[in-house]
Amino acid sequence: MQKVKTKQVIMVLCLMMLMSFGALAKTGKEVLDDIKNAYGDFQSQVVTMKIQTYDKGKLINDREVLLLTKNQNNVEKSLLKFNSPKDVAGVGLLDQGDGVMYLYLPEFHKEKRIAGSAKNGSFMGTDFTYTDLSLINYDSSEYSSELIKETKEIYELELKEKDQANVNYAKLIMTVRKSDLFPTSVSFYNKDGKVEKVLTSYDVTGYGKYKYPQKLEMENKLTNHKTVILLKEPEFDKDLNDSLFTVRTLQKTKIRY
Amino acid sequence: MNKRLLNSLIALGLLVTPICNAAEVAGNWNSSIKVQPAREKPADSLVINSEVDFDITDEINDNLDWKLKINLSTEKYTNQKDDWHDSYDLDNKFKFSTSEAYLNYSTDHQVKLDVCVGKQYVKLGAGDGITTFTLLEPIYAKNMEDLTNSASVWGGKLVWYPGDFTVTAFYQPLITPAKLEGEVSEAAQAIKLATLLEATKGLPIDPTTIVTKIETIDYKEDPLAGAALKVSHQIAGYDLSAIWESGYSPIALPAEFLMNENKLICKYMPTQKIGTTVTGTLGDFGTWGELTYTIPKKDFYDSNITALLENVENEQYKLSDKPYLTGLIGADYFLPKGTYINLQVLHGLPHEISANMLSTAVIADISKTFKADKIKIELTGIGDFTNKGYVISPKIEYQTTPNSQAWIKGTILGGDEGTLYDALSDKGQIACGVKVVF
Repeated sequence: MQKVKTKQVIMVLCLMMLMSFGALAKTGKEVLDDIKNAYGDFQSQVVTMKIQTYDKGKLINDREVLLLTKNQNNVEKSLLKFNSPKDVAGVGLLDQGDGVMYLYLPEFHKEKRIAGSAKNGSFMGTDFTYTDLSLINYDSSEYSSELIKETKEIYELELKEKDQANVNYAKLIMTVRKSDLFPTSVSFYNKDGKVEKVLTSYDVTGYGKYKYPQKLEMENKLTNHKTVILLKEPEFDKDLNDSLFTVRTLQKTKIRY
Repeated sequence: MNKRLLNSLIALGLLVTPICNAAEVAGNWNSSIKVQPAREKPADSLVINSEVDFDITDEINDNLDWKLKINLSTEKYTNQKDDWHDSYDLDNKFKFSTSEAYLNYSTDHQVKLDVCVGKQYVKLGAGDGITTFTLLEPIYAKNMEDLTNSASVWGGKLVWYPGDFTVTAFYQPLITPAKLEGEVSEAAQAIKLATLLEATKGLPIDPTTIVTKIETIDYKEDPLAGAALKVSHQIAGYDLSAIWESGYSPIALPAEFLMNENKLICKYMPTQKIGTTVTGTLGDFGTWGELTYTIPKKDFYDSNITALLENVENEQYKLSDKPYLTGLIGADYFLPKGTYINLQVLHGLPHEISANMLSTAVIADISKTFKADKIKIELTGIGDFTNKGYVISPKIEYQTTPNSQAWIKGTILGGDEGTLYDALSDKGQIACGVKVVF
């Protein structure tokens, strides 16, 4: 009888352990999906961003851009237009999804198709690449993920770029606050295994049913360079007309939406 | 301060102040010093240039906006260190010009339409900074590396967006000829004289005494001074266009030679162009291409000119009215860490306006930025396979403050004897300058 009881206790304990693993051990993809569902499932977004770049603590660039995004049939479209300073005002970038991107430089009076390799480069001299920028909108579709650490307060995910032919970083480590599933920081490791850049989000604010940080900071640890993005009153789920995401709008000095 | 400059500034102020009241005004000030080291000392030449651009834009209402871009410039030069000249004569040494002045109307109501009337840039081709559709993009060049620069033209543009198509139509009531200034103009004159010398060899004609007359276009006879139609559509991720252009050669060409009067009559040659463009991506490369068929007016050159041109040995300068094909293909690639590579192969440079002239060239632009775009090192170049000529231009830009930039640039050129590159080979130069945006 005693033997049977002991066996039962062991079985129950095993079952409990299995259940607890099932409850706690989310996969990296599940955590990323949860983040996207909690913060990034908006259909459209309009936000004005102030982008400041610092070199050794000294402000070297202060730019303002208007960003419009729209998710249509799972195709993410975006239009970005520089408002200031005057030397870049009017410069625009249109992403129509499916790899169709246009750059408009008023100086050349016409739009230019740009290829995926443009995503390799720095976004207008900032510490962000175009691919890094997608992370701001909780879009991790370019990465595969693995949950590598879990504590009472945080999840830690290791992200790797899916396109292994054009790898910019060896890996990314994303720290996610468990209480509200908010990604508080991302460390970008270079191919030498060193932390190259760290992206930190500050002042998470609620805008209706969505939450968004008011400030993002990307610090390049190797060059002592920093980019700060300050977000002004983002608007979500506005009814943005499809005609906004066209070359015709890209060429306009002012965007009306 | 020069009285004329003061008057110009006051007039400009009076003109601009009321219209700028509600408008947005931006601009930049550029100053540069250019040194052309001469092969034989001490004849170095030095050019000091200073110019201010004002870019004024305003929206009258949701549908209507306008733009005015004006430029005020002055230039001084010397080819003997103690002997200074102005680029223009004393009464006209400050140059005032408008590069853009237009009114733009957009509507999304029953039809999607943009109408733009005034002085504007017309960009029909797909090339990057260069095109084979040149009838509405006249060259505006002072330096050899400016051969890819184009001037704006007066006219009306209509863009209609039926469905997924874009239809662009442009009409210009008067032609804007190519503007060749400074060393490019001097080189063109040198080539013209050399060609005349060859053409008249063995004949009782002194080419230096030939009087040249440029005949103006009779617009009453030909109201279609310049027109274009472009239809664009995206297919399988590629932007495809069909283009028709009609107009005149941007340079007046020797059409008739009056033997008795020793007079050369130059005319703008009626020309038509039809072609196609494509832009898109191939893997991680941006790609584009143009193919253009040019049809010059038949029998444009009279029998005297044709006979004279028979004497010219350099095939390139045997002007003809035969139709010809030009085109370009290009690709660009962004490497990580701010490196950018752009290569174009072109058959038919913008200044080549006859079937025999056409050369094949590669145009390269390689740049790398450092310190968050604060420093940019750029190497641009043209390598002309046909003429064995080249122009190489390295440049370094340094952003001194968020609104200002300092730069230094060199230009080296050379080529086979008798070519434009050869004519300009002693025009290699070093230039530096500053640009302030306000």
